[in-house]
Amino acid sequence: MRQRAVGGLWLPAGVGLALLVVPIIGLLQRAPWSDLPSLLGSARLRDALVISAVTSAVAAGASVLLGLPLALALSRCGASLRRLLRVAVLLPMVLPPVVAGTALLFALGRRGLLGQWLDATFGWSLPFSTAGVVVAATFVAMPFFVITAEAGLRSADAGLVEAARTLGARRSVAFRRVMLPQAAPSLAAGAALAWARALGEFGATITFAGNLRGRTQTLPLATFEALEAGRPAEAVALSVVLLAVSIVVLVALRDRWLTR
Amino acid sequence: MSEACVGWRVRVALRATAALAACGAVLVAAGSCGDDPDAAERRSLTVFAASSLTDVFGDIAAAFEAAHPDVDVTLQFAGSSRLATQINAGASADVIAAADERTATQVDARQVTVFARNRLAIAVPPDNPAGVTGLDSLTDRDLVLALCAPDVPCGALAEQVGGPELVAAADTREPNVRGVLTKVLLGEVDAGVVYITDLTAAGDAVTGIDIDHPASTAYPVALLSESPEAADFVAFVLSPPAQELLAGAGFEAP
Repeated sequence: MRQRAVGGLWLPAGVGLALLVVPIIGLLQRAPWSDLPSLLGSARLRDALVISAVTSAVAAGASVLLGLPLALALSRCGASLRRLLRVAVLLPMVLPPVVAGTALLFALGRRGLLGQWLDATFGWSLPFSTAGVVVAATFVAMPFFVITAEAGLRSADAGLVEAARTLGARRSVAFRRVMLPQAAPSLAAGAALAWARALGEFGATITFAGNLRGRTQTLPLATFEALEAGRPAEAVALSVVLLAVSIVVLVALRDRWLTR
Repeated sequence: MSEACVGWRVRVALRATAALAACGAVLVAAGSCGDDPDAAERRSLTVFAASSLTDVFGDIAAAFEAAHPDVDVTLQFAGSSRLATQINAGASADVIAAADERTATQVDARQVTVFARNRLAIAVPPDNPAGVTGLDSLTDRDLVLALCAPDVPCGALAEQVGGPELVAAADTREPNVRGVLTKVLLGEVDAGVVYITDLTAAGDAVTGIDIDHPASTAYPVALLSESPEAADFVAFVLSPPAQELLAGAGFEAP
């Protein structure tokens, strides 16, 4: 009985696996391995590499700085408020990125809800700027950090913090020396996830921040443009870089996903 | 207890799936034979067209369908370079209408014929916040400017018309001309370089400013398949009714 059930699963499981793996093989077999160094050394791709490295790192940093207090609040507040906060935090995660970009445009664009005030008061305009790329990436990436961090903080042993407090540690010290070390693996995993998501961001970026080489053109945008322009070798080269980064993230998170 | 519960859920799910499948079958049947008894004989035609043709090709396809009731025209719009990439990657299209002649040479197309020409113009929001007066004012550093990406025809033409100074002043390079128009419509940029015909399409929502430059781009239409409907469609695009629609949208005669 059990044997039969497993046998029947092989076909759909195989189709599912093929769907996930075949595209990667298709990409790798088209990769121009011998030309890769010269392709990646071209000024256009180097610009995209720099923009992507900087914006994804800043977005991951912002996700941690702003997301950690949010994760703490989530882990401590009452159940009904938490449910509400969770919806707000999870929504950008499930929202199609192009919708995220449209929403950002109407909120932070020059004529947007907050954007027109920012423009009038400080003369700041986020669309079409590198800062805009960071905002778009943070919008889609921060939820990954918050949710992962919240789980880590909630599973940390509150009794140990309590014990530290009774032993005379101040609240901030108890948090820093007792709570944080316990949650550290989750925080690191959340940061890595947020960074990977920021690096891969496409839809919100092209919608909100536009596409300009050296200012807002990230690796995914450069890949898209190369493919559109009939330069497939360049698109594949960039894809291989992003694939390699994804594998590195997966290896970094292996304790979480690969060995359980 | 719990096993019985699971069994019940599975049965409900199966029943719901069966009901959905039945619904789907009914819908398909209604869609394919509800209004037209000759549905099985209807032939389909896929036309890939440049973004700048978005509105006028909708009208042209409708007029063609009115003249050929047995043909269903499916239109797909994108920047010309993307259309070429998709066709070369195996997308099945019968006809391509591109915004420059280079695109037609990048795909395996036959009977390439120019059917219209188009010029560039500047689109600004109705209140013209940056006080744009012409091509020269676009190179102002404080002005937020949208151009087409370098590889789509409107981007290449903008470079030809405005030179490297204009290209250097761009704040974003949009994947197609309608992307530029949208950024102007939203007021997110002070100016965008689009086709004259996009100004016609946008109506009062944007203000147009002429560019005094003779450069124009030629729109070729070409056959990608052997189907007789494709040849009919190309002939229709070159015929007076379609040419009138094109002229009404602001295109120049070839």
